[in-house]
Amino acid sequence: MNLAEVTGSVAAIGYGLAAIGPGIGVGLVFSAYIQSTARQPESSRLTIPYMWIGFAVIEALALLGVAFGFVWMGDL
Amino acid sequence: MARSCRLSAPRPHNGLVWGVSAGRIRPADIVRPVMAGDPKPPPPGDPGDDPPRSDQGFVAMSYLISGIVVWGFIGWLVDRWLDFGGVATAIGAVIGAAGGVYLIARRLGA
Amino acid sequence: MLGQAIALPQSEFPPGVEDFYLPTVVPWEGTGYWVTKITLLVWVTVAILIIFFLTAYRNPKLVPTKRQWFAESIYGFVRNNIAVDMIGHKGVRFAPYLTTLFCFILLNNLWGIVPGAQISPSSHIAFPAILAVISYVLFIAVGVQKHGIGYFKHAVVPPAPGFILPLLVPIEIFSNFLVRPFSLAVRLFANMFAGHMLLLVFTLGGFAMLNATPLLAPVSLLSWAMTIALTFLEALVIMLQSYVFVVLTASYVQGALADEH
Repeated sequence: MNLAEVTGSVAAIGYGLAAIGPGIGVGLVFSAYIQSTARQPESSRLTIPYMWIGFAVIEALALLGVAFGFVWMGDL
Repeated sequence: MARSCRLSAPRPHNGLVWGVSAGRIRPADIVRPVMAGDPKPPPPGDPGDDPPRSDQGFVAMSYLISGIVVWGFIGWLVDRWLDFGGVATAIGAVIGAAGGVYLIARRLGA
Repeated sequence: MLGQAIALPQSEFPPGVEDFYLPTVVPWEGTGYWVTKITLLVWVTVAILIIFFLTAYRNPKLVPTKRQWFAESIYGFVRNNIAVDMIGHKGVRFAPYLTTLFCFILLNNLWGIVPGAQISPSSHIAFPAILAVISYVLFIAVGVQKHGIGYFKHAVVPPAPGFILPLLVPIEIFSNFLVRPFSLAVRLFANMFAGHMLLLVFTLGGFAMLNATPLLAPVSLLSWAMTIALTFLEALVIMLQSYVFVVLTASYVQGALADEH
C-alpha cells in the first residue's frame, strides 16, 4: 500500500532541510556582530573580518548544498 | 553669451551650466556645498579616509558562488571526460568553496 | 495606454513573458516593435531628466529655490553618501556619472508603479544590460588608467602564496570580470520583471476569478487590495535596486582605483 508517493527530484526537499542549519548560523553570526557593535562601537573594525570569515564558512555549507543537489539529482 | 573662458577658480553662482561648454570647471564644483557644514575632505593618507564599506556582503557572496561554480564546472568536465559519476563535480565544488572562503578571508579579513 | 487598461480584463490569466512585449503605439507602423510604450517611457525619462536638471541650474541662487534645492539634494545624496563614502574623496569626480545613473534607473523603475504607465522599461533586459556594460567599461577603463596594463594582474592575482594561486586565479577572473556585469544587469532586470509579474498576477487573477463565478467577488476584491499593497512594496524595491546598482558601480570603481596590496 502506498501511503504517499513523491515524484520528481527529492533533492529539493533535501536542500530545504540542508538550508536550515546555515540559515540559523548566518543569523547567529550577524546578530553577534550587531550586538558586539552596539555594546562597543569602536570594536567594529576588529570584529568585522571575523564576521566575514564566519559568514563565508557557514554560507559555503548552504551553497555546497545547492551544488550537491545538482550532483546527485535524486539518483542516490 | 559673452562668458569668460578663464574661470580658473570656481565661481559657482552665476549660471555656469549654460550649455556644456564650461569644461574647465569640474561638474562637482558647480554645485554649492550642499549642506551648510559640508566637511572638508581629510588629507590623503589620513587613516580616517578609509571609508566603511557597505558592499562587502555582495563581495563575499560573489566569491563563494564563483568558487563553487568555477571549480564545480571544472570537476563536471572531468566527470564527463573520465566518467566518475558525479564525484569529481562534488570534489570540485568543495575545493571551490574552500578557495572562496580563503579569498574572502584574504580580501575582507586583512 | 488607455486602450490597454480597458482591454485588461480580457487578458489571458496566467501572465507570461508575452505580456512584456507591448504592441506598437504608432498606428502607421504595422506590427513592428519599434516604438512601443517602453520606448516612449524611456524617452520621457530622458526628457524629464534633461529638462529638470537644466532648468534647476539655469540660474542658481545662493539661497536655493525649491527646484534647485531638490536637484542639489539628489546630487548631494549621491555624491556624499555613495561616491565619497564608497570611493573616498577621490570619488567626487565620479559623482556626475553616478548621479545620472541613479536618476535614470530610479525614474525608469518608477514607471513600474506610476498609474497609467505600470510597466518599467528596466523589466526588459536590454536596458539594464547596456547600463551594466557602461559601468563595466568604466571601471576597467579607470583601472587601466590608474595602473596601466598591470591592472589586470592587480585585479586577478590575490595576495596569496604561490602554490595556491592556480586555485584562486580562476575564481578571481570569474568573479571580477564575468559575474560583475552579469549580476548588475540581472539583479535590476529580475527585480523589475518579477515585480511587474507579481502585480499582473494579482490584478489579472482578480478578473479571472470574477469571470469564473460571481461568488468569488470578495476574493477578487482581496486580490486587488493585495495589488495595491504590493505596489507599495514595489516602491521600496524600486528605490533599493537603483541604490544598489549605483553602490555596486561605485564599489567596482573603488576596487579599480585601489592601490596595490
